[in-house]
Amino acid sequence: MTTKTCTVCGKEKPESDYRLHSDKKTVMRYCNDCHLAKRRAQHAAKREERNAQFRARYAANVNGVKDKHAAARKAKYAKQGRAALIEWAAANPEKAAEAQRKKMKRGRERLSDYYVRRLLCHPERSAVKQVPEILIECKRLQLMIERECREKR
Amino acid sequence: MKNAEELRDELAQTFAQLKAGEIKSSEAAELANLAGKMIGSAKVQVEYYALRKEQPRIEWLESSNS
Repeated sequence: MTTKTCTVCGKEKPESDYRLHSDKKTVMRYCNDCHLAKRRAQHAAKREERNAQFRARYAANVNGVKDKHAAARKAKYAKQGRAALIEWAAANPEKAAEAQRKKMKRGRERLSDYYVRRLLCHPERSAVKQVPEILIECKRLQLMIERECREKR
Repeated sequence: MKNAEELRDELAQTFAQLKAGEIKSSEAAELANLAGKMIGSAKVQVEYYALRKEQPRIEWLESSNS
């Protein structure tokens, strides 16, 4: 069995512990372990850059990936139904409260329909089931103006 | 402003003017305040009918085209 000394770790190892070059004939100068360590380090170093690229592609909805995820969430919700969600919220009150807080925070930032509707007629304090769309639009614009005024002051 | 649609258009215009710096923020704030009162009033009307389990037409919320 032929052996070879790794140029990175300096250990003498059998040639079977070395990877082949792309020509599939000659073996690399460093052993498989060192090769993997190097690749892992490269992978870790580029992690943030790669994640930023993925996030940008997701935000730009490249190949409709964002739409696919939204459709999957909708399908899952339709399959499991609202009952399962209510059951989960009852079993995990802290997690449910945290999720609600996050949802409201997102809504506050984006002035979503959900947030504005809740501001107008809170489901637990109001008998109104269907808030007119035009009222939601007016309220959203009013909030936008108020925010802009606060920023300008 | 005879209906909600007109109020919406007015608010949208005010927001655009405020962004462009064509009107003072105090002026825009006054209009937003007034709009809040009108929206609040319409909301009370909607809630009242919801409590009475009635579904009458609220003219102010109706579109001028319909």
